[in-house]
Amino acid sequence: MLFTDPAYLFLFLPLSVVAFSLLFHWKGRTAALGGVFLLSCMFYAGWGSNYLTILIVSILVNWACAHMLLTLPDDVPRLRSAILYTGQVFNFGALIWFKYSFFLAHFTIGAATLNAATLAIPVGISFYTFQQAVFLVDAFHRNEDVIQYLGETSGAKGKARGFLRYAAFICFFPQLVIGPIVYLKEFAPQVAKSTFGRIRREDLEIGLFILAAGLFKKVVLADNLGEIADPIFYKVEGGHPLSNVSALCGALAYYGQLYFDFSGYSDMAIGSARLFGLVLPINFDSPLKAVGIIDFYKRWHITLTRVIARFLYIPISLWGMRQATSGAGGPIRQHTLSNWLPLLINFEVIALWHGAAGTFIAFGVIHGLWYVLETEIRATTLWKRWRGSSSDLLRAALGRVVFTVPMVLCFALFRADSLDTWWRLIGYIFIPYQGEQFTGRGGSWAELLIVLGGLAFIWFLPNVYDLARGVRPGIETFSNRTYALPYLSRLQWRPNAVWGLTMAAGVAASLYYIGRLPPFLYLGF
Amino acid sequence: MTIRQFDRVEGRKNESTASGSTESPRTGSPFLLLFFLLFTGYWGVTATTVAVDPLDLYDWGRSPTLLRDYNRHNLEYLAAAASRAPVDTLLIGGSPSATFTSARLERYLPETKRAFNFSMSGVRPLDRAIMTDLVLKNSPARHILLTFDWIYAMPAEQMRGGFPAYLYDNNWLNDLRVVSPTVLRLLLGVVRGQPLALENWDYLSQEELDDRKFERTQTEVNYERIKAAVIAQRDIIGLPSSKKCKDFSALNTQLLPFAQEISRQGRQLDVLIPPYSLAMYGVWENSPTRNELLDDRILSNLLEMRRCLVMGVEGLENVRVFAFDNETWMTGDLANFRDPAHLRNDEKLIEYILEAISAGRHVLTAENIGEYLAALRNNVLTHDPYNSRLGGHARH
Repeated sequence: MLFTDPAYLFLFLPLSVVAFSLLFHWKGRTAALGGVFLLSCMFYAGWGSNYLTILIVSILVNWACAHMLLTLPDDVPRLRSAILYTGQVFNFGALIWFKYSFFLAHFTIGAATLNAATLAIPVGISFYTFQQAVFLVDAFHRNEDVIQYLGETSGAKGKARGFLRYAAFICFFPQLVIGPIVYLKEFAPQVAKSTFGRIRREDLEIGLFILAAGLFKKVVLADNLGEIADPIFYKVEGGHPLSNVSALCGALAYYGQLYFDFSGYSDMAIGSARLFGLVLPINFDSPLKAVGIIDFYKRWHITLTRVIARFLYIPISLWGMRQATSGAGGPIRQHTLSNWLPLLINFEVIALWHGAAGTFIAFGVIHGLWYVLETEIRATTLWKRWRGSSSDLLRAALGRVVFTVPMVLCFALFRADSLDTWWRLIGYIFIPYQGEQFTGRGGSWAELLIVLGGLAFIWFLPNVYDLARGVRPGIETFSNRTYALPYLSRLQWRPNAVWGLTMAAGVAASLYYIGRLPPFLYLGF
Repeated sequence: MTIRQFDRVEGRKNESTASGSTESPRTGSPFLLLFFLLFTGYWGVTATTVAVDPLDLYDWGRSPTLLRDYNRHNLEYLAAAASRAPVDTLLIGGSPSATFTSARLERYLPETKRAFNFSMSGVRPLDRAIMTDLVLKNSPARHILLTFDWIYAMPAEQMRGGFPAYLYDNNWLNDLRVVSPTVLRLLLGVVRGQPLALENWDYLSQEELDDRKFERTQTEVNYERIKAAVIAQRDIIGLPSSKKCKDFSALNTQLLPFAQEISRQGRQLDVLIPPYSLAMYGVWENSPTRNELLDDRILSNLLEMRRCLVMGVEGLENVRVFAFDNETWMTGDLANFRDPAHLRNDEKLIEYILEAISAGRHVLTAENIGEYLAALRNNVLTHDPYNSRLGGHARH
């Protein structure tokens, strides 16, 4: 079931909130969490019983590993380590198997025999795999939150209770399919609170505000930008020449589409969870207003960034640092091992996580090199001197321009079907084309203006979390600066009639387009 | 570098988030009230739409009165067109048959009293199959005209983008999506006792657009482009077909079973192969985007598919296949086409085709299919694009 489906918005979600609260009042906390697990299975079953089976098997295997890790004594460290590694091999083995079977099949059975079944990737597998992988590590370290959240897990009743609580944490439907990836230490304390299980007015107000904003971003902005981007990319893929305006229009439209689509989903997830009284981590914090790529990754898909950093970047960086300090070699070698190489690996893994395609690999290489370059530039004396003598406004303006142009081109890598298509699109943007153009829809000046109008939402308006900062709408991972324009920074959401009318108008506009129901772009990842 | 601060997640610190800061005592929330009104309003409209059932999706729906032809993009209308609405001749077509308006069908098919033309732009096999299934189930039409477009060479599971398949499955939950501005307008009309129609849905509203488009294509630049494409592809389009009858899944699993069932029900089915210009095949081959839609070798593959069709319906009572491609006065002259695949909106051309159907001329059978295919192949391969309107005095 998609968040934008009326069946979700007008039936499943409200009934789920009511059922959850009733279960809590009648049977208590664990029953409410068990209800969440069942409701989440119903939500997920819409994508097929096979996928649901894979999800449940994954949960059972991880639960078994986590339970053993928690119950085995500390005097069998090798056995505990073996269980942890077995669980992680299962998690990432399954992820790699499902995500890259298409790529592997090219070499084993040949492209000609590939079909849709070969391509099928269980929806949300990346997200629930990451969440479970983090949980296993926490269980291995006997994290206090894990122990308190699961409670006593001995005996059949204890095991069943622990399983239901674990399954509810992994499956909680607002974050099951495309995240945000939640840590138990963010989830468990909220379950323990006295307000858990109650339908509270402020939660409904904040939740509906964020949910409505996400719905508008996805249905009105992202999907309409997609209708502009698609024919333009189809033309390039089909070998048709484009004017500079058309090519720029296509690249910008997809730039906006991807952002609104994914951040819209995250908003709807956070808003849905808030109706249950649960606060999820913020996943997007105005990333396209960033002033550089370092800033961007503190704002884009934040919950994936932190997981990758924790499990990949930090260990490789520490290993590199040890190697650098233990052996001979100058500062270049040290820098390479402790910083550059970990960063490049980090970004290539993020890229490959999206899929095994040349465009993603190129994306990873470009972003890795870009990140390294920016890190080094910001470490120079010249930069520091300039930072001390220049105004914040000037640096931010320049930073945005320097950031936005290459980022628009990088985003096009996600939409282009091949590197060749991407390269030609870039050529059409920058090289004046004099020949006869392919006629048909896509890429007029009027459409470019519409696209820029859509992007104006990003560049000039405060984001949802800026607007609702007074009521702490989500858990913050990084202490990002707000980039809301000064005269708008005082604008704050309030649960009053004006905001109600504004949001109701946004929902009404969304309902106008709701019948289309295109899937979220990140469902493919 | 802040990425290293990955673990500064302060779940506990932000625990207070859940308590929010909107704790000031309030007696009512206008914000929630507006959302509640929106919620109940949506349910009210949905319940009314389902109860009235303007598209005749459910058993309790009232049989709609179809006023005009349909050839636009509001796809929800498909259900109504294939519904129990009182129609005796129903044309199920794609964009090439949009000009065969109900008025023309009634004029040139003498036995027709009430016709309806459902020609959907960008049709694909699966949505066509949904349509034909509904016709079998609901429509009282005794005479079905069905266009045999190139789309039948596509895989059977191909569906038009944005097609509302959710209206035609067994999942009632997704019927909540039926509420759209178009359906609401139809609903209001039906409640007021009006026929199921909206302005701009009939061909008259499109006619002017098509005529303008036709005029725009009648230029020497366009003519030279078509000519260049045909010459460039001449050696390629003659290559033998890469397909066998079993490869045409849409034909085998959708059209032929439909023809058999129509025949069994004792209704008349006339399958019309829309006349494409002889230049169309070369233009198609020359276009990468067109080639992506089908395997290349369009000419040989379409010819093979037509042979499979004729052999497939051979012996079925009341089922005929009509083709006009070898009428080179029509298909060899670009002045008769608004683009190489679409016949122009011309009364005489349509009259010729419909009268031929009425009189049973130009019928393909197992006996003459070989001759037809050989002649068409030869006509296409030896064709020099020609436009009688330009007549050597092209307009720029």
